[in-house]
Amino acid sequence: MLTAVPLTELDRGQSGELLGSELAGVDRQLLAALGLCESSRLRLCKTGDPWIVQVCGTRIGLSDAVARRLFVIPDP
Amino acid sequence: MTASATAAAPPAEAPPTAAERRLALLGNPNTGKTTLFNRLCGLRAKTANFPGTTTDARLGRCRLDGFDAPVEVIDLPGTYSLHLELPEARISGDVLRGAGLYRRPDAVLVVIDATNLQRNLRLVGELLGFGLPTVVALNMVDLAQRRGLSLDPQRLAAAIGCPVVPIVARQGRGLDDLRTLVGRVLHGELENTLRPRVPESDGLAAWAAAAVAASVGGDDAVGTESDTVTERLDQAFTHPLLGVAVFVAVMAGLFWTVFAFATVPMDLIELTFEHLGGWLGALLPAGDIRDLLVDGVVAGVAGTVVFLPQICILFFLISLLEDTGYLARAAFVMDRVLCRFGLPGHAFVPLLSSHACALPGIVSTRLIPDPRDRLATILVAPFMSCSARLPVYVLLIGLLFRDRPLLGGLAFAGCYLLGAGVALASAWLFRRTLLRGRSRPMMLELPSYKLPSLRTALFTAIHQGKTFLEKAGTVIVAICIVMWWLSAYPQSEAPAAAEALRAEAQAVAASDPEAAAVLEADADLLAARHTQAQSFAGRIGRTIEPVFAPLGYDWQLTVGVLTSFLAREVFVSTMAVLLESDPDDSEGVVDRVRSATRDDGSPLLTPATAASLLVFFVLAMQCLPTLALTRREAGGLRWAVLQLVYMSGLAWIAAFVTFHGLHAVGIS
Repeated sequence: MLTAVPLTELDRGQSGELLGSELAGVDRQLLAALGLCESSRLRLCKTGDPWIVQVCGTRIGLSDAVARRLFVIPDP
Repeated sequence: MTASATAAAPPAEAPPTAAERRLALLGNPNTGKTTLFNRLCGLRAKTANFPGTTTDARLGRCRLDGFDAPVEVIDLPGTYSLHLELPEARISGDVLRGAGLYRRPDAVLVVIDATNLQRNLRLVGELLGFGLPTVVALNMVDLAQRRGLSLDPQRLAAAIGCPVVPIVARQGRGLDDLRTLVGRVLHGELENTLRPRVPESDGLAAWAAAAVAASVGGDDAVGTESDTVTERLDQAFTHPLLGVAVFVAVMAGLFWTVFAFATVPMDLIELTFEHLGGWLGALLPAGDIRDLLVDGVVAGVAGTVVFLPQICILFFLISLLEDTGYLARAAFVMDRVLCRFGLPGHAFVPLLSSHACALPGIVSTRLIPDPRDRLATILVAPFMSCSARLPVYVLLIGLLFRDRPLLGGLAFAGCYLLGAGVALASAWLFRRTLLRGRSRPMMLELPSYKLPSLRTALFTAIHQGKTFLEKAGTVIVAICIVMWWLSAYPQSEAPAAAEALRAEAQAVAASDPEAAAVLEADADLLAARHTQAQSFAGRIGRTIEPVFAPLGYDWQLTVGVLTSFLAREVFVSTMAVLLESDPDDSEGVVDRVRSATRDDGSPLLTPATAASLLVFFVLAMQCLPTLALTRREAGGLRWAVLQLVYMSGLAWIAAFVTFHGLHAVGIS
């Protein structure tokens, strides 16, 4: 069974599905509005602060504080 | 690709009058919304604040087929969603609902990015829930085509239930079709065919995904492949070391360009106003009206307009940088440093610009998305040593370290470091007290790298220049006139010594015109010093001298400090006037100040007094134009008052500690 890991544990170039986040309030809303909501498929383009993910056609930069709170089910 | 329309409705019986028609422009950030606004409205746009906010509302007028007068276009703030608990989303929602003071628009033109359909369509889905006639401008279709995306606007229009027009706003492609279609929608000839219930986030995502699938054949078709050039650039620009090096180089280039290119127009502006003042002075008879126009109005307008080249060039370059996509990466680089002080990475450009002048620095805080972060940056930006402080630093450091250039250079650097250090410490303090609240963690869309648009940069520069003149210029000119009046009135008779010099000048005028001119100039300085001492500013200086006495200042220095609230560099000219020196000759002023005495015969400036004065000038808020701008940009007088009290209070304490600290170690 595949388990979710923090985004920061993915390797560069690895893809996965966003399971959820520990963010709350407006941060969570903004993340979803940017395209990073539950079940979104993403690819990690760059590791380290800032972490850069690609979701559909968008590249999104995330600070360490955000990336640590995102949980992703990595593709096998 | 061609424009696509949905169901046609019967034409309206009577053509609408244009004055009643309002079109709202909506879109995600980075979709080219501002470029489209500029294309539609040109330079006819004006800026106001959305009621009760400090957010800019741009209003323009656009010519459309079938309307004999222009349609009003309101450019809403860029937002990713209409349901976010953020000011830009709240304002956009209120305008679309026609809530409060807002007038509901007759139709909405929503700009979406063809390379990022799914996310952009979620905003369209939210908008359709408002029931307003909607046209979708599918922008950047050229970029989508280059990425191999095959979009079908007609299928997309059918899927989302409103007309879709493919455009390339930067090149003006598709705008004729767009104008025609918007005109038809405003005439009531076209209506939305769907009005989705405002769905939950997941439902909206599924709706957007289905629309994408219908028009491009599935969301996997939309840019999931890696872009090696973009990834390499991102690696470099956000790298902990290389990213900082690139950032320093880019910023050095930016500010070098601002200084290099602003000097000539600034000199020209100063020269023009000098000639204008001279021409008015020669044209008008001597008296109060001439003094008001020449020394108050012309000098005040010149003092405002002279900053315009710096502001326009700064925003032109920032717009170019923003357009390339680099600035979003740079924000992450600086965020690592500034977040320790409670400021976001976006604050770096405003803080750095404030080294030239706090006015463009404060205007450029509009780049900062979070209101608390923006307010904290506005409050501390004037701590940065601006160019107006330079003449004062030259004067006082020249006094303190004459013939010791190394120490003088270190003192200069120390002044800049002191200002920057106190700014960061104050930001830390404000973010933990008055502006308490967690900083929003950085999560930013990183737009595609592309060549910048000169046209958009030019429009941005003109827009920001106009905004500066409209918002701050009027207040600044009024303040300059008041300060001139305080230091020029009540006018007093010239002292006997000045009259004697004038009589002597007349006597030698025929035989030795040069000597006569020197005597006349001396008489003028003597009269000016007398007027200054007797003026309201002079009287106020004597009255509040006890406040500054603990810092080592007498009434003359107090007047110098007070008049420098007009602008810091005024301190040098005030001291020149008070001490009967030529203000254009800085060495002359240094020598005069060095040998000047107080009323009791003791030296005016001892090393301890000069050091105390230097520290005071580094930290004090002595710039009324900046306070006027703070009031405008921060959204209330209380913030300007806080800035004045905090900075000047801190400056007083630091100057007191410096003066008495030096005395304690035997330097007096």
